[in-house]
Amino acid sequence: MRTNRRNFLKTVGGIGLFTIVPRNVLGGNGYVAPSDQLTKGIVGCGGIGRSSYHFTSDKNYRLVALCDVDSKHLNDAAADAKKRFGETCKTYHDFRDLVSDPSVDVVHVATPPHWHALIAMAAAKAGKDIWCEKPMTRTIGEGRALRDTVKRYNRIFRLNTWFRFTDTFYGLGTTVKPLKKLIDSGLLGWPLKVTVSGNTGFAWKFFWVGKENLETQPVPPELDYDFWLGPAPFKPYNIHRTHQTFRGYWDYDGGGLTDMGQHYLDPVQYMLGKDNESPIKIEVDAPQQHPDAVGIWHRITYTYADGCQIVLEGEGFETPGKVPYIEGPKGKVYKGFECTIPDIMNKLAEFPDPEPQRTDFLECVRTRQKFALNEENGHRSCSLVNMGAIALRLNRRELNYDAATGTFKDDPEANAMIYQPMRGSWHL
Amino acid sequence: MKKYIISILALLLCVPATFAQTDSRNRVASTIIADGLAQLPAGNPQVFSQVISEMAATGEQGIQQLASSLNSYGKGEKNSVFEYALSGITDYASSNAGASCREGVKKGLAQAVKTCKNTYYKNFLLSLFGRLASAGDFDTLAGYTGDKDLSATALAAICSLHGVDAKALDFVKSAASGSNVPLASLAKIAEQFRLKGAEDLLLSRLSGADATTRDAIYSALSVIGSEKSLKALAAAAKAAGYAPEASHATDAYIRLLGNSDAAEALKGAKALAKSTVPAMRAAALELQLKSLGDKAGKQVIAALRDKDIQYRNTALDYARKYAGDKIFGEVAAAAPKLSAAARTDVVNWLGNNKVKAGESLIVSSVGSKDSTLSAAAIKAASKLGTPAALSAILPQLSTSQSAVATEALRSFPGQIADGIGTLLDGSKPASVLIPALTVAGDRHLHSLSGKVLALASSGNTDVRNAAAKALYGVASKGDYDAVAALLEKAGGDAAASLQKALCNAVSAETPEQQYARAEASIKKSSHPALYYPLLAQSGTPAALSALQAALNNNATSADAAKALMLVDNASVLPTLLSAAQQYPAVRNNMLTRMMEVAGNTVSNPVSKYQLLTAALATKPEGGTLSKIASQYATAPGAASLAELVSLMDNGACQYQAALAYKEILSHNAALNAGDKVLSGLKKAKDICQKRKDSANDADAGYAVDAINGLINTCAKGAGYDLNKGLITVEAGKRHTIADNQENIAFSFDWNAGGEGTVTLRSMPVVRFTAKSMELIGSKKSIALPAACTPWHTMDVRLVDDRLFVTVDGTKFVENEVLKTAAGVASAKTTGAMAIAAGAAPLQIRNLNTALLANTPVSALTAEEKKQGFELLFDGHNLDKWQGNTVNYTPDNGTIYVTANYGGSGNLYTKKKYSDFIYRFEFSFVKPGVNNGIGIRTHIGTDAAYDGMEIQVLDHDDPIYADLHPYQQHGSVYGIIVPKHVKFGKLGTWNTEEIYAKGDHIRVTVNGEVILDGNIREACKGHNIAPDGGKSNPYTVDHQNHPGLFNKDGYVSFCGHGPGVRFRNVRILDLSKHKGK
Repeated sequence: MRTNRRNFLKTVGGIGLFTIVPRNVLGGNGYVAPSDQLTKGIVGCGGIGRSSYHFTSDKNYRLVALCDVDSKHLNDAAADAKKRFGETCKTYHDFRDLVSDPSVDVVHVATPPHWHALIAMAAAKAGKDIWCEKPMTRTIGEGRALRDTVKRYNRIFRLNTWFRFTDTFYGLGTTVKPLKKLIDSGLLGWPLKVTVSGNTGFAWKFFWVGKENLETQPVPPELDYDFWLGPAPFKPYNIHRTHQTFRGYWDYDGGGLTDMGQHYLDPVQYMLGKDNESPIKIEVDAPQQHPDAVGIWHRITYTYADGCQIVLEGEGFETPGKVPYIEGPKGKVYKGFECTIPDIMNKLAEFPDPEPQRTDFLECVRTRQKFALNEENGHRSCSLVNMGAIALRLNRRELNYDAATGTFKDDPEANAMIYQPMRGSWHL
Repeated sequence: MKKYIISILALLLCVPATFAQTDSRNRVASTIIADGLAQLPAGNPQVFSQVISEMAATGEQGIQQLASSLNSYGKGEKNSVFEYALSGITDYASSNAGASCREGVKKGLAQAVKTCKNTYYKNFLLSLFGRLASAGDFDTLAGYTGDKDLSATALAAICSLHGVDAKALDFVKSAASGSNVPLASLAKIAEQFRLKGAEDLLLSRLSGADATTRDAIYSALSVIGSEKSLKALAAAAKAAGYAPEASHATDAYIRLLGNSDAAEALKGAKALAKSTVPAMRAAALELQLKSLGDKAGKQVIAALRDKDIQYRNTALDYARKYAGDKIFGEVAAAAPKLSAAARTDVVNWLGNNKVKAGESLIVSSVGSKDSTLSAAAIKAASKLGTPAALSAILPQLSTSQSAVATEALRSFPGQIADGIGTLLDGSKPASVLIPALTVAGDRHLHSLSGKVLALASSGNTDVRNAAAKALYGVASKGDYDAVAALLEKAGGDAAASLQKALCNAVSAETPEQQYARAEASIKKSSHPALYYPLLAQSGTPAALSALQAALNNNATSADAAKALMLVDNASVLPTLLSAAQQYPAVRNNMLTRMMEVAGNTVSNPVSKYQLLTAALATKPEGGTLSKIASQYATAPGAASLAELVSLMDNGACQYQAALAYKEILSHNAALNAGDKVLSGLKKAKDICQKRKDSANDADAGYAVDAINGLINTCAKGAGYDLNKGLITVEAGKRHTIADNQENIAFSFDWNAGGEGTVTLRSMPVVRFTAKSMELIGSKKSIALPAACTPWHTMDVRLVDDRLFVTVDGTKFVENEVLKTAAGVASAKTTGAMAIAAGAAPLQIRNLNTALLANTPVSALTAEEKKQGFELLFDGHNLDKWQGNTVNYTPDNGTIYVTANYGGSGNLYTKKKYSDFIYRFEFSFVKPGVNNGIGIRTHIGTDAAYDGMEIQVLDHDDPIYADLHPYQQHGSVYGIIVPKHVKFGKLGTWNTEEIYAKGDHIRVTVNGEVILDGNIREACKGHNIAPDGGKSNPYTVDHQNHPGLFNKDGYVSFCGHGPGVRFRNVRILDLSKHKGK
């Protein structure tokens, strides 16, 4: 039955059906035709995979498969799916089995970041569309490979951070739309400097840091630790490396900067119109970083060729006083959309809105139009956090990026961090 | 104190390893490493480059010392400082700045890998070696690939090398037989280095390989493969049915076709295109279109006839990428003959690429009966932004595509007012007027305000409402009277819209102008409440009192409460608070708004605390309660901690309270002390732990980590007692906080308007009245700020003879010497601490006390007493001193030199001395401290030249690399060179004695005589150059020292920089006593 539905969808295509038979004729109000229904499988059921971004199921978008290398997470999620949605999900230990399951249309990648690229690429090669958690990938090289694979198979890819198109943008008390409109209007002038800081309304997950001098602990029986590590170097188990707190270790993530940074930086990239451009200079002021455990930092500054800057300020290291979120030669905007240009909202209303963005993922899957935040601009904004991570990890004060060659100028070590070799047989 | 020219540059120069036995400061490698380790992890990039560059310069020797210091991993050993050092050195050696150290460091690492016994650290060291490795290190790395513990690290390092293709090929070939390196890893190397020579080998190993190995081989072949591989992959892909499978044969085939020549690619793609899997067909199509280039038109149009939407869109995507701009025209021309679904794809594509050549197709599709196509065309037309596109969209406002058209016009990049204006004609139907009004309002089309005002009186209710709404955007201040007139007549939805329109029309005017308008309208109006929002927007004091009055009137209080929520300045806070207190129905709204406004306008943490405490007192509901609890994090203080401890008992807000409690202590280390604070931390930890376990909450997990850290650093002994609650002090009575106490810190609130006195050590010290407070016995007083809540807050700290008082977060007195009512320094060191009421009862609240430990006191030894020594500082006060008693403060039994209080100059004894023995203890608490003991000197002069300066200096700090011997600690500055003293760690106490009798000076540090000489002999009697010039050949520093032979003078501390402590300072005046 399910297989029939699959073939039906693939050969006829969604749109054709709507125009032939309205859904209410088939099944009355609220009925969803089988071909209109999409299915998903979640890889990584411990943290964000169980959140309302992923762990949902309804007649439009059914949850049908789950995968985790921690059997406790897997079994809990399966029981929860049964209880909450009445779904008996297929359960997998190995993501390769989930991505090749023909009953899955879309693969949700909700693992720690060191797995994102491999799983999403396997899904793309298997012809699945992809909903991937932030940060998109753990390295710039993984991002390039994932972007290219998604394009090669023309998949629909959604990166899961959403502030460029919806929700109040952290402490700013506004969505990005009016900010984008303000920037596009030219009222602030050019170039712009954007400061992401406690003083401009942001709260970094700044203390998502790792621990030094970890003690070796026995691996719990429910966890396949070798598979959990996958492409990451083998290091003796300690619970702090894994569930929830993996964010504090460079092997899997990079603390608040990489784990949360894309939330803050992606909207800025969009506002500044830098979806097709990377910065040319990255400057870091930070205490020395430990080779394994992520630490804190003071300030990271990204500079673009046209002089635009993005400044990240660490918690406790903010520029004192009232700091503008966006500063241009002709005006400044503070948190809560407080602007030095008088009567700004009325002035702004006379300008056209920014071009609408495609934010309905399921609609994108059906109409094969790119999602608002996709493999291209998502990779671009993820590269921002990863460039910062490279500078931090190498204790560099400055990196200079050459977009033409996709490398850092005059720094072979930094370039070696673009593609970080994977362990064992794992490869991009 | 003397200034030095410090050459940090010299430190940054990296000395080649072979010369690194000693550095410019004559330190051997082990000393440099030890000194460096003491400063790691480096707190900032400056320290990093300074410390790490020195360590890196020790090369092989230093690396080996560090590596051998690593203890076994994972057993709780504290290895991290060595990890910081080793990885930091590697980072530095890998950078341009560290290039000259690279070989030495690498050699050290190579050796360390060999000798290290621990698997974890062997890997760690090997990975560091790998980061510095170059082509010449291939064999070393390859040598580790056979070791199962090190293989993965070695292979990863090999993959990062450059220029090793030949060696890599040899390695792959030899390791493929008889080694335990997995074939998959060798395939990875072949792929990495594009080793065409490995193709045959890899092909030959395909059969019988497992899926993982085949995947790796296929992947490698897709990069290095020739025709042979193409055949093999074609067969494998065909066998897989051109579908995905575990070893990704089809993927590899596609990638290899992508690297093949156009004809080959086209041929392969044709076979592949037969796949039933859309993703594979997509990839095949890309290959075809790429090969065809600008000749792809026919193929693209053929693809657009496909039933599969994925396939059609793939064709369009790749057409844009590979076929050049003329493809747009070709496709647009062919589109009318395509299905509606395909035309939709084309229209989307033309719009996304803003193709002007697509205008006629897009415009003609706008009115399509196919609703999907029509919607796509409207969106595409908006992106084009041409006049024809606008004309096509406007009629759609009144069709079933109205919503799409409205959205399209919001973002339409161009002038739309004239177009919309043609629709705003009273004779048009509501179905046209309403969406047109919406767009006019959204785009603030002010030129249409006349038309919109006219429609606001339309007979059609819906049109009327839509026009009222649109007035928000189109009305300007000239329309005020017209809008007000409409408002007087309107009701329901329209009234609310018109109120907004009225406010916005005048929003650019000054607050006073806005208030004047509102006041005038209210006078005229029979419905004054209609103008409350405008009053609120003006936010002037007069407007606020009008709203407050309206709030107290039953008939208008609901409207006034609503309007209060719109005021956007801090002066509304008391009004919001009183509304929350009086009207339970609006309480949560008022409090939420109060916190919003306070968050933007109140930066004083004590004012925040007062507001939050007042908010809590209104007993808000759960959601508001948890917001209040979170906000306490921005109001650090003992009373906030006390409040949070009790909020941690309330299920509705306990997690937020626990996080706020943690936040306060994380950023205010001084509060983290004592049993009560500790038990609060434990409570917070339990709450976060539970949250982490039950909700899989990462924040809660990190909070547990942070709280554990705070528990470990919580100081034992005196901390605040975390009290809350009310105490009434009867008129003329006192509330005793402590008896016989020396040092104390406490804070409390008192009812605004109350009068009383704070008594310290049994003396009245601070008196407060309804309006001001004064420091008794001085002329200092301060007007109390207007209370935002009915409470003031005072914070008092008394340590030794120094008093600190703040009121409502504002400093009142700081570092002030405690004086009696008569204004003289108090001799009392203990007494009662109390708060006394004046003539009326005094309410005090949230009294929090920390009973600080007594001051440690120094005393003369029996022998010193007998000899006649005088104690110049016993720990309590600086009564025997004059000069800068501001930056030199008594602190915990020591004289502490700080830079906090804005003083300047040196500290001098009150008496003068000629011959004497001066004894004291000193301790450096910051690196690089510079001070000095001036003797026989005078106030305001430079002791080094007027009298003498016996140097006090943390002279081994790296910043003093270029120090002259006559500048070292203990020198008679510029005159006599001492023996070098080696100090212990920061914080170590040292003893010193300065013996001065006539020209004879002797300095003894930690029991060792480091200088014993005669100043006159040292300069051969020439303290001034005989030729009268500036350069004096007779002094070691070649300076003139005119006051060197002063007969007598003061003894002084001559430093400005903070970070040194002195204690137990005593002197024996040899001119009055017989000395040694």
